[in-house]
Formats: sequence, structure tokens, C-alpha cells
Amino acid sequence: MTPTIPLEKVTYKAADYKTDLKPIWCPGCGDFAVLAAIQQALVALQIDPKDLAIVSGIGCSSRLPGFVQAYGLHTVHGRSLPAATGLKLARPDLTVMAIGGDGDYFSIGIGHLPHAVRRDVNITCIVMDNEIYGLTKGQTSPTSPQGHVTKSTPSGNQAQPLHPLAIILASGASFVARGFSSQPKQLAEMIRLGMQHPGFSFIHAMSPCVTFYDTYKLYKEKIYQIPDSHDVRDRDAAMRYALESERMPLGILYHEPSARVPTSAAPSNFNTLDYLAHYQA
Amino acid sequence: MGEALGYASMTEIPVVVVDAQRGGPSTGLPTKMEQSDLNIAVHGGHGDSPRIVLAPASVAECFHLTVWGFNLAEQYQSPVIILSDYSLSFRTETIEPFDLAKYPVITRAQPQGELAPKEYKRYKINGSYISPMALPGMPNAQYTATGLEHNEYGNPAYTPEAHIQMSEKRWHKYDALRHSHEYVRHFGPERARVGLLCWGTTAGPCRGAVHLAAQEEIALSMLQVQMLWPLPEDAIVAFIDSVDIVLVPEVNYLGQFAKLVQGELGVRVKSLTAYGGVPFTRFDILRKVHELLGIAEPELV
Ligand SMILES: Cc1ncc(C[n+]2csc(CCOP(=O)(O)OP(=O)(O)O)c2C)c(N)n1
Ligand code: SF4
Repeated sequence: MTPTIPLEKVTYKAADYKTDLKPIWCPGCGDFAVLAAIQQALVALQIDPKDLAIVSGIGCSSRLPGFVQAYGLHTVHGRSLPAATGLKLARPDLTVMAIGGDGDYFSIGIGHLPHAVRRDVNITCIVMDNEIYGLTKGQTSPTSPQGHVTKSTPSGNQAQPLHPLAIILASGASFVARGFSSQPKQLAEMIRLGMQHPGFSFIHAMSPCVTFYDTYKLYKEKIYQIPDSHDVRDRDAAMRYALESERMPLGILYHEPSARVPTSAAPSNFNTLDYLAHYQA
Repeated sequence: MGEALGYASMTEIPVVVVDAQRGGPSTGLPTKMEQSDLNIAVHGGHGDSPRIVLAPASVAECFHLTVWGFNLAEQYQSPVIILSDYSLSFRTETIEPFDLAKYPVITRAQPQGELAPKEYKRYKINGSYISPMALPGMPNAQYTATGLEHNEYGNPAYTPEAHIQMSEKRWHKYDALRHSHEYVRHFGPERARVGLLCWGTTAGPCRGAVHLAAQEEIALSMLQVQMLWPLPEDAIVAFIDSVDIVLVPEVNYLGQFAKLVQGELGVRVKSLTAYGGVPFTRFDILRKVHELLGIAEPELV
């Protein structure tokens, strides 16, 4: 449930998190709803735009930082997590989000994902999964279904799709959730909870690409809500949700309330000049 | 790595990278030294991606040029590559204690005073081509550092005007360094018959050769270039004018630095390369000087 903020405490409204740039996305792209959900979560938490940093890679989805009032890093394909990790370590005072697409995070950038999870640095990671490479005009991605025919797989995708949430859970993540761009309220709520989680949080935002792989209808048939009876501390149960292919569970799969090691800046008692004095006459 | 360096060039983010060169290509000679990453250090990256490349020749210079590497990165908002090599990175040397008072700490230009909303231009064009860089936490200075071509506000812009304007900004900001005499070291006589133009650890055997030549009364001088990019043109041209023959010794097959100097300055130099994964000795270099001057090698008994 989104906490209701007393009106006198609302400094930042959704409009305060918007820039003058008009999103370059196709009309109907799921990413519009993800952007709005992020802005809703920011309103709920009243984050000062000057203390917010959004890091992305390359893709349609990775253009998002330019549309949010924040310090943005639109880096190179697949490398947002190392950049976000470095930023959060150098500047623990900032709220840091890492965002992008399934190509960015599960294809070229997947090597970084388990390690970002293991390090458990306080970053909110949101992957907009459309099961396709949108920006490059519709090639299969690691989450595209088997048999999927695209320009890069004219006789059907031979590889089986991976289950990103299973990889993230297996790496030891403490906050794992899935939302859908057609359910923006729940998605905003997942993002807010992820941002409040003190460690690395992962939100899988299903966000269809209307131009190259329109899955709105398919997803509406596949989705269902994870029941309230699910124990969010039960990793085995979370793993069963994560491995589902026929259906698409939405909600919090796993949430361990406290992150293991709190993030801190470089030890403040380390003084470079003292250290170098050691080498002086 | 090249892609991220290009990102740093494009977004004008200070970063310092150390490359301790080993024999290549590929895994090559991973336990032998070589000076063969010069081309990739200077030119590696997509598009026209400017950076600064420094090359220390000794342990003390590693300290000196690393401090200055950070200072230059901050001042020019640029990637800086420090080209060490295997032999240097494993070396122990006795050195003079560092005088830290001689090392200023330079930080990047930052916006001053309060900014009105929408006023801040991250890539503002001004006389120096170096624009004040906001840090997260500064009010009203939010921007997105994008690898896409951009306008002064940092917003994506693909017009010919934007690309021309920003390409010129990215390159012109280094102009002062091209004319600097800070990053070269001269040894030997003011005027000489042969001049050694060298970089990195090859400066060691070159100095040995200058010393040996003096004993033989051969006028041999040398210029060690510590900043390989942008090339300190004025200092190199002055050195070339002070000698009859320029010899560029370096440990790589292609003669990468010789080619760089020739291409940039339109001069002809003689190249001396070693490519066995082993550094030069001073005798190797002196032998080449003898050959260039038509001096017969002394008979070995
Ligand atoms: C190193 C590198 N390889 C390939 C590309 C080309 N490329 C750009 S975006 C992209 C995939 C985008 O897919 P995704 O991350 O899912 O984002 P979407 O556009 O679907 O939102 C690829 C392969 C690139 N920019 N850089
Ligand atoms: S191509 Fe697809 S992912 Fe990209 S903006 Fe259009 S609908 Fe969205």
C-alpha cells in the first residue's frame, strides 16, 4: 500500500520529476508506464531530484534517464551496473537507480548482474523486459521464447529463454519483484518498496514493445497475482515462481527485510597524505 | 575498454587508466615487456575520441605522472591513460623522497553560485572549451551524461551543427598542452649529430647510450617525451631542429611512436625497433648511432 503523504509534506509532484525532453518511444510502448511508475514512486518517497541518480545502458528503455529530473548516466551497452555500483560507493548519499532493457541486462550485461546482487550495494535495479531488442529493430533477446521468428532468427529462435529472476534469486538477492506496465499502480508500489530496501533490489518490469513484439494480449492471459499467503522469505517458493514459463506471476517474489552488509563509503580514517608521509624523508 | 573510454571522451568525465604493457597481440608474451599499446592508447575508441596519454620511465616518474594524470584528468575533464610496461610495474628502485608540497591538487571546474532552473549548460561553449561540471547534489544542475552527441545542455542532438560544434570543443580544449614544454626531458648536448626521441622505459637505455657516447666524444642527445598525446609539438620540433638525425628507439614491431611523430609533424625520423619482448640495452642503441654516423664498431677481443 502506498503510504498517504500529508498534503503539506508534498514538495515534489510528478511534474517535478519530468524534464523537457519528450520520450522518443513509439506510442503505446510499455516504457511510458514504467517511467510514470518511477515518477510515482519518487513522489511517494519525496526524493529531491538533485540527490537522485539514474544509470542506464543502451536500448530504447535506456533512454529513460533523460526523461527524469535527476543526474543521469546513459552509459554504454550492458555496463550500467558497474557504473551504478561505483557511483553508489563513491556517493552513498545519493539515491541510485540502474535501469535498462532485457538485452542490456540479460544479454551483453548479464555478467555484471550476479555480482551486483552479491555485493548488495543499495541500488534499485529496474529491467524493462519486452523479450526483444527494440532499439535495433526487433532481434531475439535472451528472454524471447523458443521458436520465436525475428530478423535475426528467421527459422525460429533455437535457444530457450532464460529465467532472469531465478538467476537473481540464486545469486542471493534480498528483494526480487515483478510488475507489468499495464498494472502501473502495482509497478510503482514494487519500485517504491525496492527503493526503500537498504540493499540491492531487483524489479522485473514487463514492458511490451508494440512495434516489434506486441505481447500485451499474451501477457494479459499469462499474468496472475502472487497470493498474499506466499511467504516472501521463502526462497524455494520464490524460485518456483521465478521458474514459471507458462504463466507470469506478479508481485513480490522474495524480500528479506534487512540487507546483509550496510553500504558505506571508503573508510574515513584513511588519510592519503599520512600514508604517503611514510615515504617521505 | 575502448567503448568506455569513448564514453568518457564524449561525456567529458575525468578518469585515469593505467596500462602496464606486455607483449602482444592477444595474450602474447604476458610475462615480457613491450611498448606496443601506444596506438590503442592514442587512437583506440570509436570515432574521434580524444584523451591524454602519459608514459613514465621510472618508479619516481610513476608517482609524478600519476599525480599529474589525475590533475590533468580533472583540469581537462578527460580520460588519461598512463602507459607503463611490465618491466616498470615489477621494478624496485631507490628514489629521492617525494616532496608533496610540489604537487598541487587540481579539481575540475564547477558551476559557481546559485543556478536558476534550466539555466545550467553542462557543455557550455566558452573560451577554454572546458565547461563547469556539476556534481550530483547540486540544485538545478541535473543533466544526463550521454554517449550520444549532444547540445550545450547535454541533451541528445544529431544535427551537423551540434556534431561540428562539440567535436571542435572536445579537441580544442587540449590546445595548450600541444604547446607545453612540461612533459619532455632533455639530456645531453644542446646541439647534437644524433638525437634520440624516446618514451617510457626506453629512456633508461637511451640515457646510458648518451653517457657512453659522451665518453667517445660523439654528440648524442635525447628527448624523453612523457606526454605522448596530445603530442607536445613545439618541444619535439625544437628538439628535431637541434640535431642532424632523429632516431626513435622503441620496443614494438611497427615503430608506433616514430609513425605517430611522422604523421603528426610531417617530419622524417629513423626508427629503431626491438620486438623480442626484451628491452634495449644502451649498447644496442649506441651501435645504431655508430652505424648512422659511419663509425666502425670497436673490435671485441
Ligand atoms: C556493444 C554493443 N553491441 C551492440 C549494440 C547494439 N544494440 C543497441 S541496443 C541493443 C539491444 C537493446 O535491447 P534492450 O536492452 O532489450 O532494450 P530495448 O531497446 O528493447 O528497450 C543492441 C544489441 C550496442 N549499442 N553496443
Ligand atoms: S521499438 Fe519497441 S521498445 Fe522501442 S520505443 Fe518502440 S515500442 Fe518501445
